[in-house]
Amino acid sequence: MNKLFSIILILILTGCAEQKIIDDLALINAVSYDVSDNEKNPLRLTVTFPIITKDGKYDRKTISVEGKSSKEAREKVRLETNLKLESGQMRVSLFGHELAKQGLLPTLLSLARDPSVGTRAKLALAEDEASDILMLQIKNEGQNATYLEQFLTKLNRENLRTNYNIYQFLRDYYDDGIDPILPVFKVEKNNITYNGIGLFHADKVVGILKPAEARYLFLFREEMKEGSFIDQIDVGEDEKATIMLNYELKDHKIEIPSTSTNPKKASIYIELIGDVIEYTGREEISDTKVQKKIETIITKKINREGKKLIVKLQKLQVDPLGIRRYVRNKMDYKEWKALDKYQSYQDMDIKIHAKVIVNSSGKWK
Amino acid sequence: MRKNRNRFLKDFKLQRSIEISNASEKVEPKLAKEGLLQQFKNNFTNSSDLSVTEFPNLTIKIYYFSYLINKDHYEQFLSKLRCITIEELQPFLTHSEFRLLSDFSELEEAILSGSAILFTEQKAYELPFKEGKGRSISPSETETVILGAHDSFVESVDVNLSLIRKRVLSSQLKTIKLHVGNKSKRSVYLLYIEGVASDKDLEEIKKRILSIQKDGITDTNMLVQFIDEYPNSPFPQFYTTERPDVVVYKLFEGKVAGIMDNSPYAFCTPVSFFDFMESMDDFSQRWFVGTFIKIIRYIAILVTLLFTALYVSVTTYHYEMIPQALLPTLQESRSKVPFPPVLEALFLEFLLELLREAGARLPTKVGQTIGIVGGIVIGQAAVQAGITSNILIIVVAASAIASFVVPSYLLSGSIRIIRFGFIILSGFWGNIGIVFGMAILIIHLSTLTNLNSPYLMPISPMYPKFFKYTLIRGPFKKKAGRE
Repeated sequence: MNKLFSIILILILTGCAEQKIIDDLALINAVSYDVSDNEKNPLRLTVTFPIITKDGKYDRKTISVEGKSSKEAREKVRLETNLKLESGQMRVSLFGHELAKQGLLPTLLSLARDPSVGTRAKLALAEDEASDILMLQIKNEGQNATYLEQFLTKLNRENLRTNYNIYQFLRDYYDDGIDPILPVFKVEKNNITYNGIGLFHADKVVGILKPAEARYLFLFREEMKEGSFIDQIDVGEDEKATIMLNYELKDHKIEIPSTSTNPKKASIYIELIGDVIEYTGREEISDTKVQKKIETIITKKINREGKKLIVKLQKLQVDPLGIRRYVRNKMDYKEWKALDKYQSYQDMDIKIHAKVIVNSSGKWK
Repeated sequence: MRKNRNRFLKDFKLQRSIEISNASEKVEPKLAKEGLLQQFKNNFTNSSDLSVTEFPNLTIKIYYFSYLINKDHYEQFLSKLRCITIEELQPFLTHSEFRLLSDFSELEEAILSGSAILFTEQKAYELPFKEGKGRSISPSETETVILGAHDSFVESVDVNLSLIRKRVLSSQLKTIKLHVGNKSKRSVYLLYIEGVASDKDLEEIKKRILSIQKDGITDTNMLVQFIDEYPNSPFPQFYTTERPDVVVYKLFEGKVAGIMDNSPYAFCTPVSFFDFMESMDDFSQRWFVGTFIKIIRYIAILVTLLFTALYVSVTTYHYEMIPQALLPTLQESRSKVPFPPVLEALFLEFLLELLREAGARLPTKVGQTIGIVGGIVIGQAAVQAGITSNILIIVVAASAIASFVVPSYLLSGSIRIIRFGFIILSGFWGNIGIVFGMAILIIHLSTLTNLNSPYLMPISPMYPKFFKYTLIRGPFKKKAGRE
């Protein structure tokens, strides 16, 4: 009896938990942050959440407010809905380009501090205003958040490795050997489209790579395991052909040859093995000689385009490839601390050594 | 644990001594000096169903209950008696089939169990003309199997003993007859295999059965509640079965079995929680299949216990746990319901229990209507009327189905009761309540013992060697001997 009493007491003393019955909740599934024109309230917060209309239909509601900080703005959103505002189902968080230029960290940390927001919430940039993306009503698409989340997951599955979530972004941010990146979306013809990769110097966006350039970026990042290479190549004099190669990354390594305190050289070795899916040239691709020729053309192309990209990255002082991590491995902590990381990165001579093997020429022949 | 057990034993002894002291107050037959016949007459007053046949020339009287004896045998006996003279009577009665009765209690038991009693001037003899009336052996209703033997116990103890004896062709199978109750002396047979069962267990169970002074115990399932250690636990502690093959299997595992007259159930002891999760079908199947089915049963128990509770806690407190794809469906189905999830769930679970109980008590033909009415009314109309949500119907139905997967009807009932506790806990405290309830449940289960053997035997205390005989259905070994 005593035991029973103490058990009941333990339960009663804790009090009841706050009830959050799901049909009374506004479950925010996407938020966006922008810089507003208002000087007093510099942050513009847009949230979107699903609602059930009175006739049982599934719909969504989007609220946009201006505030001093993200949580202050959230309090204002609370005043604009009859439902209890909850952010535990937040899947996507968008940032406007302007805000990203000023730095994401304050807003991002306020997200990361909220225990109801999971660290797997995905992050993305907007090419212009992020609220435009959430406000957009795509016909027959339903929830923008679900659309975006699916989009990001799809990009990841197609091995563009862009599903940056809060955890990954902050991990790369706090790692002094690599810089974070985020995918960029924009509104185009009443649709949300992927439009490249935003490059970050610390928490500030400094440039945006177009999808075509971004493809080379991912080729040099090591987590890339497979993908497809589509490009126009010069096969002969005045003759161009489009080739599509489904490849697998066989080997990837970054080497820093010198062990001096300020390394000047770095080499990226990649080895691709692929199947030709499409080739528009006149030559017979199943011919091994032609294959050899194409291999060298593609290798040259990758080396050239890659070099261009890396020079661009070095100029912007962003290191999404994580070359500095390999530099760090070559020295002790004191030397690393003393190093001017970005300057040494900018001065580095980074070479690309690609190797392409055409495995087969597709099903035909 | 040990402390607890000792305390229990002390309690048990105390209880027993009280009961024995009560027993000593009972009225002893006053007329011990008088003849057995006089005693018999004094005790069996107002017994209009008692028949008597008199042979004045032989100075004998035969008393019997006409519906308890075999009439044909009796007639044959009478015709023999008719040709006997008074001188031949004494030698005739010394035939071994007629037992000389020495005292009244022996006499009482004999006549009530279906013998006729022959009184000479000084002595009384038992004439064994028992009639084995009763139900014929039929397949078990509560413990059906697909493969394996289908016979089950009946109400006659002789038939039940024969079903077991036929399966254990060995003199090592021992039976001990005990009596239970003061007024109605119900006989309980303890069965064990000598050298396999532990003597300590046997002595303990004997002691406990003998200490019962209660009358009106009608069935084995009732009897075991008088001898278990934790009468206030919702869990059944003695394993009862109506299948002779199960009993024989348990006997060879070293357990003691008990059968009671006029009850089609046998109990086995000492058993653990995992004995209740077993069906004879597991042994007929290949061991992969048997193990798979056993694992399914454990999952079923968890589903019965927790599924509805989890629905309540997730929809009331932990919306973060819901996968995004499920969220719209859940919100949509909840949006019309005016009650909080805990009330909604309790209402539906209660309705389901009503349905189940109504179905169990009704004749089969009417029972079918219940199924249809319940299925249509609860399944369709309740959702359309906006009393419950679609998803909850699925959840409750799934946990109801899962509760019937548990092979033991007794355990299934216990689990179903406990489920209500979990729903209430989850309604007030969410997942914390569920975890709390689970902790209490596990603590309780590990406290329980059956005949001083822990209820969660191979897990707590841990004996990994026995897992393959209890937790799963491991492959058979061809070697002789018992683990």
